[in-house]
Order: sequence, then structure tokens, then C-alpha cells
Amino acid sequence: MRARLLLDAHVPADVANAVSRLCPQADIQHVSSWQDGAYINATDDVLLEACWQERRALVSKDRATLPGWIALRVADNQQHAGVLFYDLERFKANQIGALAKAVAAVLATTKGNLVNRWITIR
Amino acid sequence: MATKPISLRVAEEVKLDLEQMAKRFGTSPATLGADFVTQGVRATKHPGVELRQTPVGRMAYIRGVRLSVWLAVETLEDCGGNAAKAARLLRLPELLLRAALAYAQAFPEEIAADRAAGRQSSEELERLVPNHSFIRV
Repeated sequence: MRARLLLDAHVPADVANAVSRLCPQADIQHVSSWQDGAYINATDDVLLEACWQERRALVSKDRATLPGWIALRVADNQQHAGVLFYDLERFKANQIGALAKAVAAVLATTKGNLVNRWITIR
Repeated sequence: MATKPISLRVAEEVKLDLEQMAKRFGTSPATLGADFVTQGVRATKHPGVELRQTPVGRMAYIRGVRLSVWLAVETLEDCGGNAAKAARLLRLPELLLRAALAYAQAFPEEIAADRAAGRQSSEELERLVPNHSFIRV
């Protein structure tokens, strides 16, 4: 199955193009433009549900709020499409190439099977 | 923080709503009312920022985007304090980013707590939801 990823609002949008170059078979979207920007201001729970509907894993470094929402989904016996967290210290905001390579490596390692997985990239 | 009492009058139905909400939140109408006033004052002084309820408590977000103030601050620091560069990376108007930074400067302890929440250890994450894993690249 074609891997689908959604980059969260704080992830530089250029990462989408960089990952697409490394993994041309993957479908990479940024939340600012995904579904015509309908989710640009969505809360985490709404976004996780939208991602699940499309089986699209979320890429984010927001380990403050997202884990709690994942926990609530799990407690409600709901699935999620997967979340790739990346380490704040390891990947600075302007390290687009490094982050893109890391995301591509995760897609290769997991073969794009990310449903119900949440992974921290270090 | 030191507090001072004020007296105010609201419509009867507002008072009833406040009492019901306070019951649901497990607090008193006075405490909840003071919280609402505080939020209103903040929203007026910082119109570029809104407060949202999250699983780790209330958190400041940049209005109109799903971007928390603490992540905007992190991005600015990653860019060596260059607000124009950070705004480009975040695809935000620079003025909106600066509005978030003004909020962060006004409430440094709150933003520091949010940043700490964003650095939960792997053990804390694993306790929250099993099936978390790390991939080193």
C-alpha cells in the first residue's frame, strides 16, 4: 500500500518535497494545504480522526499534547493511522534534509505500515 | 501570583450557566469566573493568541493555526532568533509570529511548562500508551 503522511503545522512544508524526492511512491501532504487547508486550525483529536479516515500517519514533534490524545483514542478503543514524532534536540527546525532522510528511513524500515504505531525518530 | 477581589454584576442566566459549568469542572463559580475574566483580559491584550484545552491542560496557540506558542518559540530558537526565517519555515506572517513571542515573553513560566511537557521522557510516553517505539536514524 502507498504510504501516506501528513506533516503537522510546525513541520516546515519543504520537508514534504524533500521526502517525496527520496520516496517518490509515498504521498506526503502538509496540513496547511491538505484538503484545501481544512485542518489548518484543527484540534489534535479532530486531526487524528481525519488522518485515520485516510490512513495517513501524522509527522509531528509535539510530544506535549498528541500523546494524550492518542491515549484517549486507545482508551475509547479507536485506532489511529500512526504518529511519527521526531526529537526536538536531534532535528532543529531548519534541518529539512536531515528530517526528510529520517522520515524516509522510517518508511523504509516500517514498509509504511504505521497504523496504531507511534514512533519517535532519533 | 497575588490576587485582588473585584465585584461585578452579570445577567441571571449567565450566573446560572457559570454555576453549572463550575459544577462540571469541579470548582467554584468564583474561581471559574475569575479564570474567564483572566482569559478575556489575555485575549484582549494578545489577540494573536488563543488558549485551548488539551490533555495536559490549557495551552496557548497562535490564533487560526494549529501551532502552539511553545513550538513557535522553539522554531525561533532553532533559527538563532531570526524571526523572518522562523516565520518563513512556519509559513506564518512574521507579525503573527512576533505576537506569539510577545505572549511568551509576558508569560514565561507558562511557556516553560509547555516546553517541559513537550520533552516527556520515553518512560512517560510508554506509560501513557504502550506500543511506543524508537527508531534511530
